[in-house]
Amino acid sequence: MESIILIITASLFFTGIVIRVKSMASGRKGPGILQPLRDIARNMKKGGVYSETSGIIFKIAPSIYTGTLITASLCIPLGDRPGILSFQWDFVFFVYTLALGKFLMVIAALDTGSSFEGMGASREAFFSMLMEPAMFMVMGSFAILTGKTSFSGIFAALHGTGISNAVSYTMAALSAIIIMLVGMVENSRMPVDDPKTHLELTMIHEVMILDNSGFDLGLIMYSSCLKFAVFGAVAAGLFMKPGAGFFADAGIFFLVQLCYAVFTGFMESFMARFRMRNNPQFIYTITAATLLIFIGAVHASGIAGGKMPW
Amino acid sequence: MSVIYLMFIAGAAASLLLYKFQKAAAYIGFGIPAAASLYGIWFFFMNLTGTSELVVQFPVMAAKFTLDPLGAFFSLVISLVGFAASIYGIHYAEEYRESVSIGAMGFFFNLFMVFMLMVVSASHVFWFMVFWELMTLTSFFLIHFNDSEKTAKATILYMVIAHVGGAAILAGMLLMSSAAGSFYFQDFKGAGVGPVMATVLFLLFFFGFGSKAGVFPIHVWLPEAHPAAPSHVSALMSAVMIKTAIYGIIRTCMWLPLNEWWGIMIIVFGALSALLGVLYALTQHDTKALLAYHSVENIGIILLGCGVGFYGMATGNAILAAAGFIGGLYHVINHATFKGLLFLGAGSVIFRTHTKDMEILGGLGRKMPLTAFAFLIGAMAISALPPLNGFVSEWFTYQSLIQAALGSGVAGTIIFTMAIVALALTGVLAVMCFVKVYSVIFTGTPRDEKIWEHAKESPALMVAGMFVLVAACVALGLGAPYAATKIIGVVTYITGTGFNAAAGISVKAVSGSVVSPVLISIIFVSMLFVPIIFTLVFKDSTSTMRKTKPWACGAKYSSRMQITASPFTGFLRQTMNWLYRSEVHFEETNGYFGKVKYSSHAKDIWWDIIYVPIIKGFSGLSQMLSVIQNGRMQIYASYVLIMLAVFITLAIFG
Repeated sequence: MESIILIITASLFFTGIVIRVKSMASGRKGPGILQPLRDIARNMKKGGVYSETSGIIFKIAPSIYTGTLITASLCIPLGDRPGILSFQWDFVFFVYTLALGKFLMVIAALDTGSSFEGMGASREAFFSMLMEPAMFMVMGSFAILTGKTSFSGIFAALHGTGISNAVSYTMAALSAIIIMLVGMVENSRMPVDDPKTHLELTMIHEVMILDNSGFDLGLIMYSSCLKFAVFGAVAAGLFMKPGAGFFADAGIFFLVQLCYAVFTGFMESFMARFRMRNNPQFIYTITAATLLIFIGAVHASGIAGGKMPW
Repeated sequence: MSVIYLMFIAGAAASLLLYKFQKAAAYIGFGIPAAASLYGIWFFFMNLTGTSELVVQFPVMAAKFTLDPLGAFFSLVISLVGFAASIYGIHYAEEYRESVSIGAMGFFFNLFMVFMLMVVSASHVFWFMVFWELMTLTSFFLIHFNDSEKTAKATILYMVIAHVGGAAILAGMLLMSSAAGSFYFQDFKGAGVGPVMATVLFLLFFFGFGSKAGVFPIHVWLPEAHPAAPSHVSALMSAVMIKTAIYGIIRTCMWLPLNEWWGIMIIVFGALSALLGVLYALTQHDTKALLAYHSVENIGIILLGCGVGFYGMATGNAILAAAGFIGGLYHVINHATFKGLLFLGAGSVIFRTHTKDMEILGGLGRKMPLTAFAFLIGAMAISALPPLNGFVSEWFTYQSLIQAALGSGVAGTIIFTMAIVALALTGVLAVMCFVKVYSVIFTGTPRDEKIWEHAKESPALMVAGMFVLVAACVALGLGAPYAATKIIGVVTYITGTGFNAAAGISVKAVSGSVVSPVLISIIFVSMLFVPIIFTLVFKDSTSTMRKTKPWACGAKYSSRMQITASPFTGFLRQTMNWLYRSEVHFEETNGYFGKVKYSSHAKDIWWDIIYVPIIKGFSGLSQMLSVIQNGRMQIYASYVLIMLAVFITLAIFG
């Protein structure tokens, strides 16, 4: 219950911090932290413009997209405090719920009949598809390491229960970076996609939502913030020790979210977007890095020593 | 049980009698199986526990049918899809009113249904093989109702592979019965087969049934044969007939002393089938061939679950066995419902547009809203998106795989984890594939105005057939806690007593979380629909709506601008080209205004790698045999003489 409140709170400031970091890195003062929220609010008040070809799916997809993100964020615990939707193997549910949102958004993009949206949809579907195994490898490795099978079980058993701190924190740090990168690819940010680009031919996410406007665009923009916060929350959970008080956990939560936002901001300030054809290699690299976590988990869990964890 | 079988046989006879009256044949020939299947759904559901027997006395040999929980479960699946396909068929048969006799189609349809039901309840080697072959034969005739050159090639390929597989099954069955000293299935269990013999038997059965199921690399006949059949028959073949092969694998493995490596082998083949099936599906333009490749994928997912089940049984791990089989069997019924639904949906589109090529469709969602909705549900279910049924079974399968990875040494952990990655990739590739199919057919603007103008919603009974399966998809998804308890009963029958299936799985809420299993689905659904309601209320009250052409960079919009199926997967085909070896034809422009021709065709490379050498080998062999049999009378006469001389010599000196 606490986690969803924290995630929503973090989502309100996340993009603002990213933009602030970017403007500071380029020597500008930049807009206020709440500026993205004002943009979203402004968009929500606007009227919509719809493509003549689009149907009901185009209208409801942004809402369902936001719905799936909120549902997915309900799965995420705060340390050992389970989320509202917490059950065994909930991380499978988490990934597939996000996939549901993407499924409808891509269909909605193709519903407009525009060539640009089709291209964007194709790219977004392809890149986030390549990303999927990484998430499973990370969470599967932690399931092997801890013998637990839900987000809250894994987070509660990771530190201080039999696994040495050096191992658990190293793995947590590596996984946190990977989850953050997964979040950035899922959100179509640098280095896979540049949200600031102004040429339709080179965009991914932005071109997919080209025809969305008004309220729908506002929802999609907010969903983007929420998605960052959700992945940040998963990364934060990896560092929380069981039994720590609420304020300690909340402190770790916001610290990790802040690091994530600053990391994203710096990445977008100092890196150029990859060429489209190099993106798969980047994503393969991330997936390959998850193998390290997997190997670490197999070793640390004692399977390699012949010990059965049950 | 006998009532259901007799109803189908009566349906077959009635439609044969009515072969001159096309309309009556459609109503009777498909109405009777609809009634029989409906009764079957109720009957087999009631008989999911316990065993009933039926003995039919024939002059020479009695046919014995034993309906145990496993058989009843598969019979239930057959009846469920059979019901939808039958009522759909009443109107769909109109498509064939001018070309073929609907009476004949109804005759084979009824027989096909009843032979499938008999295969899963036959309990004698002879009758099992007879019905198995009759099932193949009737489906062979059903494919032939679409008469074209391509059909002929497809059916011959189908027959050849089915018979190679049938021969392997027969060999296995006979070896098994000679070991057990009986032809009855009930004597096979614990027949004391040695480990070498058991391995030989397993390989024979796995190859034989695998060829029917379309396991990689024996999958090549599926994308040829399934699209060739009329759509409601493709639905039955793809959704149900290949499941009888899964039934065969489970049934035969129940007789044998299991070895854990078999489980691993099933998992490896399952993972390969799943991944390659969906990768090839992505490149298809023909809706039905695409769906057939997805059957390969889903058979792979089913095998992943069942493989873990066998692995668990072999290692004596009750939780693993239960979790694996629940995943596998749940996916059997799920795949039957959503694949049946998708084939019926594709058939509905073909019925109104008369084309299987999705590249020239588009925008049909506005003309056929009900078909579009049904197809969308099917697409979401097969992509394993919650809250529909596909997600539930994949969730169980993930669960079994991770549990298996947790407790089985380094090699096991690596294999099972790779299987998890394969399943994850399969899931997202399926999402991508069905986004493509749905959007290219139903959304956007029409790519061929003429076809679009003539399209309209399919007749009522076809829509009804689809919505039966839509209801099944939703019910199996939201009612998962209840459905799982029913399937656990069947699983306990497979694994035998001593395995506590219920201990292994359940949607257990973690303590401290506020929800129960049932609440999870309710919360999920409301989380999806509350925003919609909120949006509709909020958006309409505060904002104005304007309609315009889609964005085209300021240029004039034309429907030819929109993306088609092939470019949508273009990136993927580029990265995976080693797998497709696309044949690309590109003609240079002649002058500025000349036409550019470009075509690319993705191939199934396994055809070249595996089948072409085999076919070449066989034709080479028959070339060599032609030395002996060269058509000259003199040579044959000399054979007779030589033979005669040999026999006389033997008779005198022997």
